[in-house]
Amino acid sequence: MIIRNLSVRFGAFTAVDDVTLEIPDGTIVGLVGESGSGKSSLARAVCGLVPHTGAVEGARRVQMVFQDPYASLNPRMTVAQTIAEGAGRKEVERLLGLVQLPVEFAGRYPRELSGGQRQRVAIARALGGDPGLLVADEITSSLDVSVQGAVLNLVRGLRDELGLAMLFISHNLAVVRYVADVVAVMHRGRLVEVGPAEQVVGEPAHDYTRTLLAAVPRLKGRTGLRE
Amino acid sequence: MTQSGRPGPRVKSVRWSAPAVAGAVIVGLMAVLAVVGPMVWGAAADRIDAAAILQGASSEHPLGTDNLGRDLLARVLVAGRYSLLLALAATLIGAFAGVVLGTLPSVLPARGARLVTGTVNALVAFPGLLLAMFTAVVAGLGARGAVLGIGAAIAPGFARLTQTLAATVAGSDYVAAARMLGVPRRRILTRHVLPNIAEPLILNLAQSLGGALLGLAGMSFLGLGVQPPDFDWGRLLFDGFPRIYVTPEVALGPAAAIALAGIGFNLLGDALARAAARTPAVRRPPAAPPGEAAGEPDAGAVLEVEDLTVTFPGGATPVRGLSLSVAPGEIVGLVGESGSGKSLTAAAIGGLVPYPGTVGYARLRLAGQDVATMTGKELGTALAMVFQDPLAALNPALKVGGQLAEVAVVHEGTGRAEARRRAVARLGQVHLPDPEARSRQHPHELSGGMRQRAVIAMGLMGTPRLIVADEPTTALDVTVQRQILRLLREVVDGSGAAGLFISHDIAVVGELCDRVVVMYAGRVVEELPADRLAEGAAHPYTRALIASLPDLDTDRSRPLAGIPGVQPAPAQVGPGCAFAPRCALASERCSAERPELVAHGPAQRVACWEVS
Repeated sequence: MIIRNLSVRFGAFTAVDDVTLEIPDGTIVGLVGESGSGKSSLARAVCGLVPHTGAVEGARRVQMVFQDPYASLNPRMTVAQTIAEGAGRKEVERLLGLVQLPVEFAGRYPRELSGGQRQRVAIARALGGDPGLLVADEITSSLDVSVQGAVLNLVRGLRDELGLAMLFISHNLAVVRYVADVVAVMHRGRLVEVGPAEQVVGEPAHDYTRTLLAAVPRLKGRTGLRE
Repeated sequence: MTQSGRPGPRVKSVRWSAPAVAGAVIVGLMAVLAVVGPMVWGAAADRIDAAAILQGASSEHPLGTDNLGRDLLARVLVAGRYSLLLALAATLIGAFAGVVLGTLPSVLPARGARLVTGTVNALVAFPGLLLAMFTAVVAGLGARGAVLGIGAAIAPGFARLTQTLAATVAGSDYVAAARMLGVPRRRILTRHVLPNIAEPLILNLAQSLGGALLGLAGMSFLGLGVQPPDFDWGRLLFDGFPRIYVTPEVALGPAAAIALAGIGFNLLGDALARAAARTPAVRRPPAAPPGEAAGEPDAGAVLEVEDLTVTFPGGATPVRGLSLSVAPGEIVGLVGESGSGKSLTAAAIGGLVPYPGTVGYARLRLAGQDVATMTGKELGTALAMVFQDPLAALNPALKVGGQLAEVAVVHEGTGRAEARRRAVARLGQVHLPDPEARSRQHPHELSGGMRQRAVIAMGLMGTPRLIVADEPTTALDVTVQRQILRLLREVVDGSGAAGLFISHDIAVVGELCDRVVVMYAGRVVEELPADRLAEGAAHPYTRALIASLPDLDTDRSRPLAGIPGVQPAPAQVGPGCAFAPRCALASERCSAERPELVAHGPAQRVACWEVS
């Protein structure tokens, strides 16, 4: 599928400025940028949640997984009811299996689940909508690192298993590099660099990409952050 | 936040306050009166006695009689059913109309929604009683008109409440997800919106009932309500009122009944609302763990913590026997997953553990002084705290500069002008661009990074010996995060203060801090110099934390290492090593006996049987 000449304007402010980005099936495209760069507006536009100009071509349906798993599940609905909303009752068991949750979870309410488990339920709900494109907006940034790893593995597994096209949004380049095949860097509403993950991280072409790379906290070669 | 397994059945213990009990008793009595009143006193209320017309109180007629000689006490008791039924009908009509009006904007197309919203706004601005009288006059004199009128008066308030609540839910992520799945609007309303706003609406219903009762009595009193031969409390008051100077009891009887019922419903409604809003309170504060005699104090340390324990009633102990010290100019990182007790440790140091938690320690000294003996003023200047959400630490109604100046005025008695000058200087010190102009802005006018700078500047208004930063960059971007971390380093280096930095991100901790303290289930499991983190971490948990974090060199062809299972809840920690159930190296000894923190090479300590 391809996002073609997409722009989002809020009054006089242009949040997303003429973005064209291809996301082939079976590919995870990572979108990085700081807050205010327009990456979440782009995600919401692709999902049809905000008015925009331009087109999203070739995706049958777009589904989204949100950042905060504590706010994205209806507290009054069980896991099965939540997943069945898009997929129907019969699919619940298969979808729980896809996101590696035991079938017993079907009758539970969100409050009985941990953050990582909730995020899996949210992914299952989105998969139930039979998406041509899955948009994941900072889905691991409110999870503990130990849980984040498992969710990232799941995301990569789903790409391989289902041949899913995915737009994976994060402000953390290390996370995006690990999970994505292609990395797109967004700055002030525009894409400033797009390329294979290793290439963008290894040989960044744009200054802004280099700034983002320099900001990634790392254990090796630490400086103590003295100037 | 992490939960293991299924929680037990929730027992919500409602503690009954005196007003709540009074409300429940009154409402209960009213309900009984409504059921039995007409059966018991019905005949007496209708018995006409030509010999006892317009009498005052007597032993036979405690509230006197009316112009047909009927006993007024019996009539008041009988009128209860009708009065309450009318109030109930009016409330239900008002609530139904209000909920429909309030939810319509969620299902109508944009123009229709705006029209309904505008209408509701206009009706809310209109005086309720006027609306009631207007409706009653149009609908016709009598009980029906009065009920419709009061219903109409109640409806706009309900509509506004419903609209506000529904708008909050409609903006939530789960409604967005449902829309993307193609769930129809009507179904979103019934499955997502209404169930999540039902509770406050029902509470409002109970309170409205009291209002409707008073309103109906008012309508009857004005002659717009119930017409003879029917009678409710308002009608009895209307009939008795002309005689109030001669025989006041004939008017006071129905008036007292109205007042009592109104008070009852309002008290009960208030109590219900409060019970719903209150998080379950816990009683029975436990005895604080006894502080043992401490060893020699460490003269060089700014912060000394020994055997710190935070306990909550019910046996939950989120922090267990924690010891750490921080030297001047040093930043110590406290790292662990959510629920490891790291934030409560910071709270305990600042004396901010929420009720009903209790803090026990063998030693807790800041700059050589026991924090328990420090005054609020001393603690306020010696300790600076920076939290995750800078917006919560700043008062949204006050300008940034004024808030900073306040610190110096309150803690040090500095003059206004001098305090302001210092505030601007401190804002400059944290590299806030154009500090003079920024100091005159409100917090919402600053970006997240600027706000966090302002909070740090606020901590620098005193002469802090210790800066505690609890996840100060978690809500920020990596680029801004780096700037704030640099600032913390600069401030610590420049002031010679000690730093305690708390984060779940071991990479951030490793990069900024000099020493790292790793917490798991309320205990320190490893302590080591930060530059040894990448290669020299010994505890299986520390190693797993590092392995599960992707960095710019992670092998993309292999799955990321995770940590199976979840951290045990504070109340569920067994006798052995808390990490044993998730540990690949765990032996029988690990689950039976807890390893102590012991030296493991220079400047490193580990609590693990298998590696030490």
